[in-house]
Parts: sequence; C-alpha cells; structure tokens
Amino acid sequence: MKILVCVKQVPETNEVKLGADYTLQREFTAQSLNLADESALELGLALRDACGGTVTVMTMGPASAEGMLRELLARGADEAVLLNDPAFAGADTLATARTLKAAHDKLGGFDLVFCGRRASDGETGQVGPMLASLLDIPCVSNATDVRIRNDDGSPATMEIDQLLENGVQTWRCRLPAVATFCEWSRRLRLPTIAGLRVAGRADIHRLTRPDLELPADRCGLAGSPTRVIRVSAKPAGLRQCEKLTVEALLAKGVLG
Amino acid sequence: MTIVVVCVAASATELIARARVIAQAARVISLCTEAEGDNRAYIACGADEIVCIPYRDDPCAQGTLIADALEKLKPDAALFPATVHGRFLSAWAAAKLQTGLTADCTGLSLTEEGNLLQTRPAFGGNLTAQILCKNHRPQMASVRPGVFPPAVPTECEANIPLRALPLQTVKRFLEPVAFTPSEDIVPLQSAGIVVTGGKGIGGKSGFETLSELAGLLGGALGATRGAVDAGWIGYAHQVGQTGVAVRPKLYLAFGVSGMVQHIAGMNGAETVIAVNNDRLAPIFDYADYGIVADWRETAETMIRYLKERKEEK
Repeated sequence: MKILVCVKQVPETNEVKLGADYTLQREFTAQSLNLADESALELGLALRDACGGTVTVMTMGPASAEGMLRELLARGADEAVLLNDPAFAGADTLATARTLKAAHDKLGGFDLVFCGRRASDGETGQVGPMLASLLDIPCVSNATDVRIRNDDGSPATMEIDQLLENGVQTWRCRLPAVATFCEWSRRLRLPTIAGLRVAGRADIHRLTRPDLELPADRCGLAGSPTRVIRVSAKPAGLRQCEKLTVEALLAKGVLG
Repeated sequence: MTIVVVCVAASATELIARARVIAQAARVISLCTEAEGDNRAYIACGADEIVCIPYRDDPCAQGTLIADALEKLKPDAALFPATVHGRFLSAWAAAKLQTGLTADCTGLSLTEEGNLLQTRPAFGGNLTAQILCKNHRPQMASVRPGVFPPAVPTECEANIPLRALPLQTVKRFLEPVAFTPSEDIVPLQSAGIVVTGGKGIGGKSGFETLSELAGLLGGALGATRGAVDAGWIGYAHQVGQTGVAVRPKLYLAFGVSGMVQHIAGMNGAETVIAVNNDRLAPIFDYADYGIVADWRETAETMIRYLKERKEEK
C-alpha cells in the first residue's frame, strides 16, 4: 500500500506578516504542523503498520519546511517530499491542488492520499477535494476514521466515516482514493530515538516547478484564479460598548 | 448577469435572497437536484428560474454533475451553502471548471465592473480579506448557513415550470454504507441565547460552569475555535467562520478575545455581552455590554442571580 500524506506548516500565532501582494510571509512567522494533518498522518501510519507499504509525507512550502518533514520522518513516515520553488509562492487553493497533483503523478501515484480537512490559517478545506477532483478519484471530506477491507484477493476497498452536521455517514469506495481528516481523530505518535537517528540523515526529496513540468501560469500566485485585493484588520459591524459591572448589568434585566 | 445558487442545503434560500440584493437586475437560477422537495420556496425567495439536475447519493458524482450543469448554464457567479456537503461539492466542481472558489464568505457584493467582491476572514482568522476572481468564470463562493439574514418569502405562482438539463452520465465513486444520527446535536443555530467560552476560560472545567449558566438561561453552549482546537469541547459547539454562524437574541462571550473569524459567526446577534479581564480585548468592539472582570466570578454571579430569580417564582 502506497500512502501519501499531504501536510502543511501553519503560523503558530495569529500575528502574521503579509507581503505587498497580500501573501503570507512564511519565513517571518513561527510555523508548526497543521493540527488536522496530525490525524491524517497517524491514520496513514496505522494503516501502513497493519497492511504494509510506505507512507510519504509531502508539503509545498519554503526550504525551512524541511525541519518539519524531518520531524515527521522521526515520527514514522518513510519518505519526505518538499515541493519548493519561488514560483509556487502565493498559490490559492486551485493552484495548490494542481501542484500537489503534478507531484502525485511525478511520484508514480498512490493508493491512498490523506490530508487534514482544513488548514488552521486559510481554513478553506478545499485543497483535498480539489486534488481528488483533478485526479478524478473518490474523496471523502471531514473524515474521522478509515478501515481498509482486503478480503481474499478481491481489490482493496476503503470504508470511511464522514462527520456531518447531523451525524456520521459511512462510505465505501475502491482505491485509489483521497480522504481529508478532522482534528483530534487520532493523536500523532511521538518521535522514537531510532526514528530521530534515521531522520537526521535522511534525504528530503525536493521537487521544483521544472521537475514537475508545471507551466508557470498554472501554479503559485500567477496560476491562482482568486486574488486578495485588500486586507483590513477590523470587520464591519462595530458596536457601541457600554462598560459596566455584572451587578449593573443584572439590574438592567438583560438576563431576565 | 446570471447568478446560480446551488440548492443543496436549506440555507440556499439565504443565498438567493442575497443574490437578489446585490444584483437586482441579475438572473438568479436555483440549481436543484431531483431530491429537493419544495422548489417553489426558491422562487418565493427571489429566484427567476429553477433548473433541475439528477440526484446522486454520491458527492463526487453529484459534484461532477453540478460542474457539468454550470458549464452549460455559463453563469457569472455560482454560490454554494457551506455545509460539509456543500463545501465539498463547491471544491470538487471548481477544480473541474478550473475556476476560483472562495470558502466561507461573510460578505458578497458587486464591484463597479460587475465582479463578485468576496469578503472573508483570512490569514489565521484575524484579518478580513477582500477577494476577486477577475479572469475566470463562474466566480464561485461558499457561505455558511446563518451568515446572511433569512430570506423573506413572497407569494408566488403554484406551478413553476422546472427546466431539466441534459447532462453527461457519471460513474459511481462512493457507495453509501450507513448513516448514524448524532446523539448530541447542539441546537446553536436555533437558540435564542448562546453562552460561549473562549481560550480565556482556561480549560474543560470552565465549560461546566458555562453549561450550567446556559442551562439556567435556556440557551445553547458555544465555543471559540481556540477552545475547540485545544480539545476542551467538541467541534459541534464552535461558533465562527468555520463553525456555526448564530443570530440569537442574546450572546454572552466569556474569555473570548474577539478574533475576526469568531466575530464572523456571532455579529448577527441582537445583543452581545462580553466578559474579559483584558479591557483592550477586541471583542468589546463588537459587544453592546462589556464587563471587564474575571470570567468565572462573573459567570458565578449570574448563576446565583438566576437561581435566586427561579426560587422567587
């Protein structure tokens, strides 16, 4: 079983730095692994442990993302891929999904592609489903658990639970397939001493735009159909706030 | 100008009403699947036409059909309700159509050139971004239920003709196996009073206090993204851009700093009370009443007051 887990580094704080074109200046902001991606990786590692195969972690980001990839190798991933090219910067969700798809194909395809259901910075939840749509393979978003059925010789199928507003829908599909997982579905295992030793000298597979044979107008800011034209700190709808004590508030009868 | 509203959740009526407001002269098409019940409601909320496409119990196949329908209808914009199902369909269809999609918009309007101006909290949820998709069509956006005010239906004719669209046949991607209804549905959206806790309440035990207060008020218990991400309470309680957008009569925020992504989910409340020991917390800019004090002492005072009132009655 070949498993690809797409991960993202996100700013640790909400105090972010923006460039002139309103893209995130990632080098100036402390970064950590996106929370939902931890679930995706742990479920990928657990499936590999049960069924055999490999787990490849892949991220699109600056060269400094290598540190995070090494940490994920120490936590049990088998291979790490960094999609790194100045031309990838400023990508919206479609341009990101196109870049991930090009890398997916370049790496020879996978049986399973796992992602977090959304990143805590952009919070769109679009990249996973867009990647699946470009690959034209089944996808379940907002998943909380996954089981692989591999009964006597028949093709492997995936059973997967999707968290909806009013309950849990279980789906079944053939592989290859994409799934995006919710935060807290699984807690990511800790690095092991042996893992740390391997991760320290492991090769991080770096792929650039020419490696992916991706035209410049299909990726990064240039390949993004959406464009941020303005950013403001305060949303509309300010209210006149009357500061008072809880006793004064209760005396007004606001709580009945 | 033509705007398609993809009617895959009840809140589609809010989007039809919004489309009417931002583009009075536009043609508003309600794109429905055959599974939808009362199509007339869409006309009553302002749609000019209903286009009906086949229903599939397979979100991937449904998304492909929606993309095909949008390809044929060639609208300038397509709006989706941002439920789990709706946002999946929007992403799947946008990739098929190779066009831009903005998730969880909190504002939609038109620029002078007639482009769809999409507003959403961005960059970690503490800034508001305005986004355009100038060179690709349709301009696609999803909007959470409750972000726009509910539609006010008008009287309309009984027999609205449905237009059927001939579409490609699609393969099956996903097979439904079972549905388990949730035992713990948090009635945030219908609640008249919402009591919300943020990171400032310090941990799981804080929500026990707020739960007691919410119970005494007959309200629902909400939480900020920070409190949910910390694992203190379930996602079903999350209020904000990527949680639930609420419009209660009374909203009480305890230990909430007031990030843009949270404001997006509660600023439709009639009256807002904020409790925070930081007098500079941004939440006070979006509150009608502000109490600068310890959240727990304030909540406990409120609980005592409500219990005493109950005994008096």
